[in-house]
Amino acid sequence: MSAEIPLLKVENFGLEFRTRSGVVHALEGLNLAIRKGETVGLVGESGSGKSVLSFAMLGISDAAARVTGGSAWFGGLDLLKAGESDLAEIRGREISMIFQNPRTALNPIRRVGAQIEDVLKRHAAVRSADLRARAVEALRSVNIPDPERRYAAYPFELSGGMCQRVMIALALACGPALLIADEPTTGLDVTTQAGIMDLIAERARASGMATLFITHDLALAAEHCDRIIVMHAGHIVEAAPRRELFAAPRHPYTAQLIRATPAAGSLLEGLSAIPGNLPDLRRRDLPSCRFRERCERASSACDAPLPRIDAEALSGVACWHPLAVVAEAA
Amino acid sequence: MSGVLLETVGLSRRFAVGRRAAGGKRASMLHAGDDVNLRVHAGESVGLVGESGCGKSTLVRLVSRLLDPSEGAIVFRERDIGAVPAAQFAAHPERGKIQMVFQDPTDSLNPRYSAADTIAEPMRLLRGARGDLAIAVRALADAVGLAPELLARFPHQLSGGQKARVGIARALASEPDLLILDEPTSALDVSVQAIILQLLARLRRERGLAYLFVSHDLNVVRLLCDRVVVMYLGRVVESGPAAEVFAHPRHPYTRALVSAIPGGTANLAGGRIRLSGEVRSPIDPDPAVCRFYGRCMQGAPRCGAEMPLLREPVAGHAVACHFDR
Amino acid sequence: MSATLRHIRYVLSENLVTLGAFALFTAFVLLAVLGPIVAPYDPLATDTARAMQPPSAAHWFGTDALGRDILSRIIIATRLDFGIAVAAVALSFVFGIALGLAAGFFGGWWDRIILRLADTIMAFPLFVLAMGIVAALGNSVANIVYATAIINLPFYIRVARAEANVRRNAGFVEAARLAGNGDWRILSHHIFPNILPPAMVQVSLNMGWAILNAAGLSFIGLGVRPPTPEWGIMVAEGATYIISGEWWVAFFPGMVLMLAVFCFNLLGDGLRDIIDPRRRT
Repeated sequence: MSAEIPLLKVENFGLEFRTRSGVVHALEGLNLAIRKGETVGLVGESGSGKSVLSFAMLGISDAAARVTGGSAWFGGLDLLKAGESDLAEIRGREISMIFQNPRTALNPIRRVGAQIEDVLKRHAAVRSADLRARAVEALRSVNIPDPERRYAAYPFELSGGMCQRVMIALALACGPALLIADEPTTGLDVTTQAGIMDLIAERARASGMATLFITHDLALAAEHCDRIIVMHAGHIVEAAPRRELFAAPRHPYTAQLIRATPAAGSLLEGLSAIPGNLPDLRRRDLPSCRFRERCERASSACDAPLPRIDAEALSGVACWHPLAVVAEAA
Repeated sequence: MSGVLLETVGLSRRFAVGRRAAGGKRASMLHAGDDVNLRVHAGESVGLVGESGCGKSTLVRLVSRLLDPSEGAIVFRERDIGAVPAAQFAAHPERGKIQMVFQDPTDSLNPRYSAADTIAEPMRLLRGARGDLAIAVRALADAVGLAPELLARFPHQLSGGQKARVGIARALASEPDLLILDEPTSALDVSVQAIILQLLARLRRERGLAYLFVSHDLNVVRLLCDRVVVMYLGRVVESGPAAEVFAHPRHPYTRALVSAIPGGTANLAGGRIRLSGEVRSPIDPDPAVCRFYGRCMQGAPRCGAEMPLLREPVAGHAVACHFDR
Repeated sequence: MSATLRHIRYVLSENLVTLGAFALFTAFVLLAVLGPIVAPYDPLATDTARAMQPPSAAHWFGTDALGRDILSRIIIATRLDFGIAVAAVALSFVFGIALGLAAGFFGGWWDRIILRLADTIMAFPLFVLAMGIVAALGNSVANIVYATAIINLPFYIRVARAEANVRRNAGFVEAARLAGNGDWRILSHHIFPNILPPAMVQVSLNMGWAILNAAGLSFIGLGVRPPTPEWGIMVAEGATYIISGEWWVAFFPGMVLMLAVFCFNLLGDGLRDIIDPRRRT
């Protein structure tokens, strides 16, 4: 397994934003790899940089963003250095993305069928006679009832859940190797959310597609991901297979995040909040560990540069005082 | 448990949609709330759950008297307050007794009011407080865990959790008996959510408040509520003690809902239930058809011919389904 | 509040054009206030011996056909021109914002009637409407103010209506209702302070236009009458001499008029930057 070349391998990736109020050190020293067919959860609170990372992979970052270093290899191409024409080829065909708010991501004045046809025309070299049939087929494949009728619908005529299904149909129309799903179910109902997550998983299984699932909801990631990467303030703090992560979180932040998330059996008294706030990423004196000021285990050892998590390792922790592997051995 | 604080009797709200036809025909009606009977006892915490568009928000706005009902009564402390037009309710003596914490802590704060102004306003308008309220505001800020130096700040200078605390303090400023919480933590990060939930639980204990807690996060409802009311397309389909409803949901929709809780599959026999089919339209729904018919895994012809009414097969646990034994 | 001041200073230092506009505005205000003190000559004193002199050390802007010092007349006219503009804009601000708030907040019939009123005014060529109003009401400074106020009304109605309409359903308005605010208090205490920033931008942009409008009316002989110094009249008086080569009589008042309008427009753009929350740090 480890000998296999990963589908996407990001190494030492850093990115900053230049703003009027100073440089925001948004991402720093990120290492991660996604293997073929794998579902990886990228979990973090707002401001952790998880969406920034996904936008950077597709080369659709904000104009103020500047890559400070690193590489992101995807099938022999470094996404960070590739030109716009190469990226445009890859977007939609090799790497697709679905967004948090499907209604704004769809063109409001075009019929959804026509929008799917656009993607097919652009990337899949489908004969124009077959376009309609293929678009209807794409709608059917995401379990949209009555796809012939929905083909001619405008986005505003569909519910939020339906719009997200259309987005998925769009994203999967060309059979991408990697799907980046950025909070695809935030704002949807639980029952709809479950359906959407099942759909993504099912399609991924069927086509061997890898999924990078970005969410703030640890419980949701726990249910649908093989592996989970936890981000905090622009750093990857921990990566681990799902079971391992929940059974024995090693980074103090991960442990606190798990304790703060209400789950099936938890009691109100058992929940604990994470003290403090994210550090201001514009600070020039950011500590090498950005969790340090919120951490109860911090010591002077934490001043040293953080231990890096190897991109291809299945698990790792960026901490000088990780929690013990075997439960808490005080 | 002491007496009934709030009771809605046959509460309905319909919205006209589209244009009235030229021939004077009545406009189509969207049924956002249909014959809702809800009861909240003093000091009790009732959870209201359901999908978006199920009428939770409408119900909450009816009860908090921001919206006028089409039919039915809202009885609060043995007085029908439903007949008072919403526009005039601001001056009603019960105004201060029903308060609300809004979903979006940013949107619900006036950007031009400092935290202290926001908290002081209901004291002045609803309790007739005069003069310098700095001490009272400070005491309340303290009760919700808002540092006094933050009181001079404006919303854009506060974090999400701090804004949530300002919203809670404002709602408490008129010393309400019933606090309506409209998804109070959905806009917050998990790291802050836990502490706000604990704050809400503590405030209820200390002040003997009753909560009507609206949420789509069932894990959160379970933590905070004694009783749960499940709504589907404007109607109550199940209600009962929270532990009971989560452990033994009786309505098929509740079963689907509970099984969809992330990480919650384990506590339900039969595993995952996935809903298929389409949500029925809430516009001019057929009064003889169960609203869940079409998506329901148990649906039978009878469901398309007769609306199931809310029954109470077990004392305190009501359900509206033909298939409930 | 110090944060606001810091923000203003920051925007000004970033944007030299706005800084220039602020400086110019201050200069105009000073001239309006101190006019009679700083003017070198009596603006009404005629001296035929010195008629039609080109700009010189004694008369920087030259003299007109009656030998009056043009610089002094321009300085003295500042107060009148600014006065008319301020009064007119203040009137249209008060009434326009009130009507627009009512239209946007209450909707329904209020909205329909007020919006029709605004549309009716807008349907006229505005300057012609102003001419008509002054001609009908009579030739006086007060009537120029009313006419200018009326033709500016629709802009304020529209700004206030749009903003009130958006905010009517904002969470903080619902919250204000729960806090015991009635309709009028919500409008005056909650919505109005929030529409003040965009309204102030409108005020600034409008001021320039109001000045131009007042000068225009005087130029065609409505409103202010000679010999009162007023920029529009001075341009009108000088216009006849341009062909014969005495350019300065019309040029200097025209330039000042242009500068004033320019200054208010730049100021409006600058204000927009200052109040734009996205530029808040």
